[in-house]
Amino acid sequence: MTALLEIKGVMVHFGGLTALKDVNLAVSAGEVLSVIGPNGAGKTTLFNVITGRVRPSLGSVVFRGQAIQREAAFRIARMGIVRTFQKTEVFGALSLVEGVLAGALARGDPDPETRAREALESVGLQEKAHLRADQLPYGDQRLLEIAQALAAMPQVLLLDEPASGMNHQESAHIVRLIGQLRTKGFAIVLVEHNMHVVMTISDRVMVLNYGETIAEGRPAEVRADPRVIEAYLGVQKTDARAG
Amino acid sequence: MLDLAIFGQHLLNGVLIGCAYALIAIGLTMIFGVMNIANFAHGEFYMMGGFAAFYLVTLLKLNYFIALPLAVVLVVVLAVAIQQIVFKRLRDAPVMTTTLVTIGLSILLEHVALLLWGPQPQVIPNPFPTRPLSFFGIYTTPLYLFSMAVTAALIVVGHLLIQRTRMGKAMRATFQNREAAALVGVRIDRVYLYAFTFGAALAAAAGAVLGGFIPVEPTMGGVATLKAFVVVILGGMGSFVGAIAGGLLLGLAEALGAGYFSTGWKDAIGFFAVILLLLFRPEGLFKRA
Amino acid sequence: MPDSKPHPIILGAVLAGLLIIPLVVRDEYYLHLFIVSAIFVVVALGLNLIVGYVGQLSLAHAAFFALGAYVSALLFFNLKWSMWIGMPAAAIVTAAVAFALGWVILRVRGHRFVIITVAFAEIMRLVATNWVDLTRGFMGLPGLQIPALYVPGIGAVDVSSKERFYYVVLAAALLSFYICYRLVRSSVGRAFVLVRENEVLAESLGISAFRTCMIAFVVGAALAGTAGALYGHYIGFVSPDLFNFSYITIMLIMVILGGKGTLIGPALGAVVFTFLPELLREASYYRMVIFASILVIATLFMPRGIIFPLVEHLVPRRWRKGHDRAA
Repeated sequence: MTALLEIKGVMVHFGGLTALKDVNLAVSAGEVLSVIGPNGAGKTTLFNVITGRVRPSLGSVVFRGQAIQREAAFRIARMGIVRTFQKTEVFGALSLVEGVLAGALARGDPDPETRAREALESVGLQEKAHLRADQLPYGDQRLLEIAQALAAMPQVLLLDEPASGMNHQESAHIVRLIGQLRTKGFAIVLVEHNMHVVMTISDRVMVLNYGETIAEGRPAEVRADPRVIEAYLGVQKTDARAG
Repeated sequence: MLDLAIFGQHLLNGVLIGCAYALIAIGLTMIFGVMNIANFAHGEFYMMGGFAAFYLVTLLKLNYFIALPLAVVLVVVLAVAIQQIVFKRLRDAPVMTTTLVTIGLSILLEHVALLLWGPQPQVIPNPFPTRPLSFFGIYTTPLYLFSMAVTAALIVVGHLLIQRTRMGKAMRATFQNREAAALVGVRIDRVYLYAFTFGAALAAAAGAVLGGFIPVEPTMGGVATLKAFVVVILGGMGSFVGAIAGGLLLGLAEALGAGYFSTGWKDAIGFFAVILLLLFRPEGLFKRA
Repeated sequence: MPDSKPHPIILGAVLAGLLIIPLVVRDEYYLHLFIVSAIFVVVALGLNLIVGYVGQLSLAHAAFFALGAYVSALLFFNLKWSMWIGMPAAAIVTAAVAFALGWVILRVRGHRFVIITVAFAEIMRLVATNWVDLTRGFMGLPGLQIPALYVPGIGAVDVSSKERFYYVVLAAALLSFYICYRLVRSSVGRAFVLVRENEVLAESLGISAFRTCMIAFVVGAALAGTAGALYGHYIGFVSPDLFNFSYITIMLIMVILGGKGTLIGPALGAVVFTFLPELLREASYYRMVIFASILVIATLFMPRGIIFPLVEHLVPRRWRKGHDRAA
């Protein structure tokens, strides 16, 4: 199986800080790869590198055999890699359908309205299509973000903590939704703190710590990896103290 | 041949104008740094400082040296009112809103001045002898020397206030990081009020002091605002020391440019510099250490 | 949906009303105001694309208006080109200048963008004032004329009277309205609003904010340039006064109080704020005090403007032009 998206030896420096250190990753169609790690481990930076918002100082991002690490963010989105954000991003004052149109319009879709409607249907928001995005409850806004991404017809979906702040029922819905998307053949990279979500739907899990990959494998393997337990639990303890 | 006396003359004029630019620009850069507002109405404080001093001297027949500080006090009262009525509502507002409001305010104050005081330029009468003084072939007047001393002193006092007082420290902390400043107990609304009034006071002082030889007129606020923007961008938006350096640089460049090149084009150079700096070096010419 | 067409009866009635104005309004002075209004409709619609649709505050718009006036006037004086060539030439030159300016400044946002547009406008003013060999400086360029219009099959038609020139500027205003109407309903125009509402998100979904802003900036400037050419030839005189800050202020008032991000709002705003200042001409300082106060108050408390919400309120829903505003 050839990977749809590959990251090879990516390094990112912010000033004197190393945000990502020789990170490698590959994800194929119909696969869910989860990236976990404590806050500040470099997960969101990884997404920023893939989507062209941050240029790596070394290494490459390869999508369908083409190096894209120098492309502009909007071009990468049009090629077929679309992300959501850790902090909810919607077109606040616009209606759901107007916002979801964005991705379809950007690609020059011949029938953007249909594409937008389908995207809203696939996350179950079709009934609310004409409400203002900022009038939606938080959970629905998280779903709207996925609909916005889907209307851009991506091949790779990068989801940044889609289940954060959700109750049990809502996160179960997200798990089902991601499962459906995998069946439809999307390659999905998931950053998520909710371990239940991660362990339920991931095909593979990658653990980042201080910008470095410390483990990668099937969920069960990673969960049992002593290095992960040490690094992750160790840092989690620090987190608990800070909070 | 470069005539040293003429060169010295330009230099002297440049330093005086530069000090005045710095006084006006300090307030603009502080309001920008602390409140994140590009205040297009800032020059109006300079204009009103001039008019206040003019009417205190001519209408109320006050002593010149009492009228100047009193004019500043009057403008400060007005500035507090404007801060409380208008600028308070601009906290965290988008750039579009803050800019439109300050543009509207600038037009408003300018036309209120036209309405109240008419368009004719006025020179503030002063008690200084008009006979020029000469040092090594450089001519100046007592009023010039007085103005230069006052503007320079105000710049130094302003700098000390910002560096040494609690409120000055709070302002600098707010400029560095507003959230963090609020977390450690800085009262942001107080900081806004003080930064705004302090800036207005310095601009008003410049208007009152310079009104003795640069005629006071309602339209001079708009021109002063544009000059102050050039200074602020030369010095780096939000930088106090940058505003002083930028003011002196612009004053000297203008005096020498007008002396040795064309007067008409000298302003264009400043605006070109503004565009280039904003695009490629938004931190200004003299990056703070 | 934003695509609903204007009701045909309303559209017909408005057009008929606009067409009979010179037949009904016999007073030269009021006709003059209608002509100036129509020219400023073109200006306001252009500014609205930038300020209202992509949400960038450009203070260079009055400079584009003045640039258009100068281009057409200079072509007339130096090459004896008539307004009918000068006007499109003005549009092309202002569009080209806007493109060059946009190429560098549309990469920055916020205060930096605003201040650069001010600096650009000031540089243009200084050029007009100081390049005396070309522009005659403060003396300006007097004696501009409105040339006859050659209509195939009829021949040369004199349009220099106010009654006839009204139809020229009306055509320009209607055409501009139509261009903006089509533009904001196209995929590019819908991207305008998306970039305004959330630029980072729009880019992450494949929209180029740079290209989107550029289109609004260039089309807006071309409209300003066209209007400037019309204005110069109508007034008959072009001078550096056109660069005065009061022009950009009144243009912003038209757009903001009209209702930025709608089409009908700024267009009506241009008419209202051409007539109002003139009617208040006796009290010229008072009127700017009033307008400036309204600008401050409306910006703070009525972000949707005054005129568009009024239209929304007064015109029955089924007659209205879709929801003109994206919100």
